[in-house]
Amino acid sequence: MQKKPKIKYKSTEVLTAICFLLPAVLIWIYWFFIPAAKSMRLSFYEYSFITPERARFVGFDNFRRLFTDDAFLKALQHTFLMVAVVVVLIAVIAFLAAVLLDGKIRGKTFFRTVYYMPYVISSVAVSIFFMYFFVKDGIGTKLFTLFGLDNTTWFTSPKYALSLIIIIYVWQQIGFYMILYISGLQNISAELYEAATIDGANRAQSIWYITLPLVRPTTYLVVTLGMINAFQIFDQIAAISKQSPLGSPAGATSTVVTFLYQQSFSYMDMGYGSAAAMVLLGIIFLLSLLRTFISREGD
Amino acid sequence: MKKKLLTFLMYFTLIVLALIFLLPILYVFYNALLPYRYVQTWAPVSVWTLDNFKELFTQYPILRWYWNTFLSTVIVVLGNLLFPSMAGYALAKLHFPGKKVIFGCLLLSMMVPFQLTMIQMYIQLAKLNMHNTIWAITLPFLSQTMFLFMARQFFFAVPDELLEAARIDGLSHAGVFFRIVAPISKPLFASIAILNFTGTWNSYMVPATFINKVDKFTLVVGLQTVNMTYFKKTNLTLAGVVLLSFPVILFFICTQKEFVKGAMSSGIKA
Repeated sequence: MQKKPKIKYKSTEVLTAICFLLPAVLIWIYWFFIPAAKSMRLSFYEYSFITPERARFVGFDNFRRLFTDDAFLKALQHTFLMVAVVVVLIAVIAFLAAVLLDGKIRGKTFFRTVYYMPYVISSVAVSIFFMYFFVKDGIGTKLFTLFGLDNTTWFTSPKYALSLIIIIYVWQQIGFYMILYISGLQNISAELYEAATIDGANRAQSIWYITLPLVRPTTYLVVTLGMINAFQIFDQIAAISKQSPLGSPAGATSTVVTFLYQQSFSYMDMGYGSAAAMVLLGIIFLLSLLRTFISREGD
Repeated sequence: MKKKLLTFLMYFTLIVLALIFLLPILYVFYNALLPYRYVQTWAPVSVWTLDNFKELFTQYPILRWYWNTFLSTVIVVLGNLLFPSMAGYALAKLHFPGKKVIFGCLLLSMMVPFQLTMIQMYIQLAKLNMHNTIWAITLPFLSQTMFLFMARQFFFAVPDELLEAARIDGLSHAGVFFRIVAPISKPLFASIAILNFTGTWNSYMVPATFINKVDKFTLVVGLQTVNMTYFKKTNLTLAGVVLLSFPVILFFICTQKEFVKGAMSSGIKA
């Protein structure tokens, strides 16, 4: 067995490193690690914030309860549907917008600024004005009646509320992911395109055969970030629910996040809420592993 | 001929996209200026008014909310300019045992959904009697891991020769960071400040959960209350939207170049 050569650390350097890391690490431990660890433990307990003395260990009961709870299963279903649609829409539109802006375009900065602008506005504010577009006879609603959808107020309609959340979210987030693609595209050398043009490839072909494979690392990033963020959508749902319970109308916009929020903060059933949060963590963790696996296969 | 058609199509798509993003925002500003009976119609400039804003200011403690939002944002941004960049520098440039372990832990923690920690965070804050105070929405967020990774990535690009030269000139390790590295790292600080400013200014779930006293609200939480009470009064609610978004939009337009750079560098981390 070979022994690793021991690196000699200089004490002043180590001391400085400790001092530099200390504030960030302490904050991380106190406000992230301890709460996260406690939540994980709590998911095996029956616990209410109001009656902490009645806390008791229940093993996997919370998880068993979750997977027989129709409200949770419905929330899980909504979450997967929403995340899938959001990630696909964001990746496709952001990619196309970035490709359009990559060439020699007049007013590039203007377009880029405008596309990015929604991203800096509060998601609650955005949800509020989209609610006005999607009331009965609103501009957005009318536009979609052209495609055969009903003329109704979307945020009170169980049929359309989730679609409204997706529209609001995608509208607001596109710009951010477009910027990621723009920076990814900058790494592709112009010579490749020239060579392709000489070989007789048209624009669509060079996008398909050159751009798409070469921005794959960016696509992985967009899909991962987009997924992790979309799983945590909350503000938009809270905004359109107004005074009604979260996930209104009739639970049509309930997700794992709104479910765990309600269990924890409305019903004060924090053990059960933590268990739902653990399921969310598990899903994100598995999907991230899967993504890493796929990206390794591809390379 | 075919090429011209293609160019036309390209600009057409770009402009349509721009309108999709721009028109809703203009719509908000326009309707916020109208008296109720003109809402959603074409109204002459002569009827435009600031009455909606006046009404909001008399009905709600808007200035108080502005102050709360401003103060909490400043505290959080200052923290995130200092702590994550120091830690990022240590991870990028200093040699010490346990570096990989720390880095791995931080990286894994990025995957944990915030909602998992939020429940316990609330219990912890309540035990410290800090819920319903500005500390609840600032203290836990003073050092955000995402910015730590941005900083680490940025400092990797600083040449080691520069640091060694400064060391030979007699500066301590801390001196090298604060006197040599920090002054040349303005792009990093700009990115952190910008991303963190909008993130904190706009954050809703945290203040809505940790704070339930009206005079401690931030603007976003306040606006959601206006929305709940006055949704039927389009012009009033939209005036609230303007009050909330105007500072951020203005800030964005002034700093949009750095903004785009910041978003790009946040992407490099993976």
